[in-house]
Amino acid sequence: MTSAITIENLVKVFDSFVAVDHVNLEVPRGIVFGILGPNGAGKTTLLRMLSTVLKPSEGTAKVLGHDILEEPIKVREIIGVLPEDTGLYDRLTPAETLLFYGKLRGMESSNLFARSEALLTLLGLSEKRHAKIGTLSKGMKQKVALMRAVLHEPEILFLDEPTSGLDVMSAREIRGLIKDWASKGRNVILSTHNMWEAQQLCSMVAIMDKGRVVSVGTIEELERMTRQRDLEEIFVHLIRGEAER
Amino acid sequence: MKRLSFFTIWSSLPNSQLLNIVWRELLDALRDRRTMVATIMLPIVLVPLSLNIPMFLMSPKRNPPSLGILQLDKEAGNFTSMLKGIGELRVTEISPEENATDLVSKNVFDLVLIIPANFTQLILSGGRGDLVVIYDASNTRSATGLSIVDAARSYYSNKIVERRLRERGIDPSIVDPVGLRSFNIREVTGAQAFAGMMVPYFIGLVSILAGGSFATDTTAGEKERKTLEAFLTMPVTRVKIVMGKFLGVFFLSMVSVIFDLIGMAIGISIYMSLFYEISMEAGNAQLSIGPLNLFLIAIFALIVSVTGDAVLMVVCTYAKSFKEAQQYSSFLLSAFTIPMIGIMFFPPSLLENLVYLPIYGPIVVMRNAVFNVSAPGQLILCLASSMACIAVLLFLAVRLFSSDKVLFRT
Repeated sequence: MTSAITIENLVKVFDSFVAVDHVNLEVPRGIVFGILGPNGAGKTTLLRMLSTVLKPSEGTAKVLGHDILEEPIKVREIIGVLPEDTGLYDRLTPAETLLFYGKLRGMESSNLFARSEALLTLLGLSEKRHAKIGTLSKGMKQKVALMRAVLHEPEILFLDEPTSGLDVMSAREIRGLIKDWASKGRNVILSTHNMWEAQQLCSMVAIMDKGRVVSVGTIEELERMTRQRDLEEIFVHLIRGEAER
Repeated sequence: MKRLSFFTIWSSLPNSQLLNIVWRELLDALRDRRTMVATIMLPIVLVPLSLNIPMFLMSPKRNPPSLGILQLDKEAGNFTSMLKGIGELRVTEISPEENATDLVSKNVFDLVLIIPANFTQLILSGGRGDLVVIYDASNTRSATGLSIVDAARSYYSNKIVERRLRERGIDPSIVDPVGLRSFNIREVTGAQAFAGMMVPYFIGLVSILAGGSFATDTTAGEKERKTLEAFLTMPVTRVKIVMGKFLGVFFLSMVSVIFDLIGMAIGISIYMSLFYEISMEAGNAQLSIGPLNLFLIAIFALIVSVTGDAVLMVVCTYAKSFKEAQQYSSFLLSAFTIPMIGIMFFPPSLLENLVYLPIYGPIVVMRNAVFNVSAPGQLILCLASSMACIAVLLFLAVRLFSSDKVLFRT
């Protein structure tokens, strides 16, 4: 079976700043894969390259066998992305937002309406379907952005800090949706600062610092390797080790 | 019955990525007060107002300067009556106790005319009587009043010369030996000459402004609001994204040009009915532009607008932030509009050469259309140069939309 994602020597340089530095990774199919790291570690840049928003300076990656440089449209068809900023149009309503992105993805009308209704109901936004997004709370906006990402039932979901800044209830709902999504055998690539969340959701993690992958493996493997008890301790141990190096 | 809403219309549109992008852009614009003001309110309100407010302020018939007359000569009633009869001055007689300079400096009157005590006596004795005017050169109405008073003085003086010469048995034409007869080579009415000066400037200016706000919003605005990243993760090519945005801007510009032309028609109608004072000749106030030339004005106004929008799309895509984009836009709009003022006064030989330049060429074509002197070859070349310019600008916009450095630079 092919991997969900194969990253080969991926580099991204902005002027003279190396944001991602020769990253190599293999993400197996059907798991929630966490990308952890401090601010400026290169997590968002890596996700942007994998979702074909940014072009790599060097190297390449394959998403379900499709090369991000050679088949960017094909890659975009099979992924769903929740960026760090929700990136929603404030003057559209949630229903219009789903209609816009669903049509961009070429979804059939009947399927699009059925999916939209199901998602609006699932995330408790039925009553807000015709309210302008600009009037919604941060948690509601995040839910709409998540609906946009999963609307077409993508094979791989990229989530960049999905619960950042949300209240406890909203964050809990979104984590529930991620778990539910992963339970169907689909991939989730999760970039987060929240170690507890990563521990709860991820089967495997990569820890990044200064653009490089410091360590990768299942949480148990990392615990054994670092002799630490939980992900937060592992993270602190690895990042301190990098700083001392 | 299903309620008709933007959502239901959108749902029923064909499943085309380009159409979908255009619709979203238009819906976004429709819900943005700033864009709607620039597209509809600006042309329909600003054009008639900016055409007519200066005219109202400067027109002595509608807004006559106030003239105080200090008549120290009780026998100079003829001249005072003549001034009162002109109708372009609001005349009030003032008493000798009042200080004329104070009255003007305190804006009680725009100007004060002093008729000296011996004025009539000097004239009747064959001498020269000097009138005195106190006015304020910094006040336009005061300066206008002075020229009206001076014209009245000149007329009154000529009548006296005429009477004196006749009394001596001399033909008055002896003092005016050179005449002038003019022949106009074009059949252009005074109204057309006025419209030929005003239409290209106002339509050009508003056309440039029309889609500008939206072109800035759809590029720099989208970057600033961080909506672009999610958009770029959709299976849509950058060419389609740029074309969708451009077609949205194009459609809005078209709407704006229609309102621009309506605003211009309203403005000129108001001007003609209230302020037209150039000539008493019947027919000189007629403005007749044929349907073909009206169509040309509309088409070339749209071309000006769309070319300006394409320039702004490129520049605003490059801008780091909305604020930076607005700075670029302000500079560009000034750069576009300053030569437009020149077009009102440039000699025809220079205008002939400008016709092939994007933005300015279509404005010259509009001017020619007002005078009904459009040349087909010129139109085709002007159209071709504008189309080529728009194509190059769109190509540049696509290149910028494909550049990580441009889209994600901070």
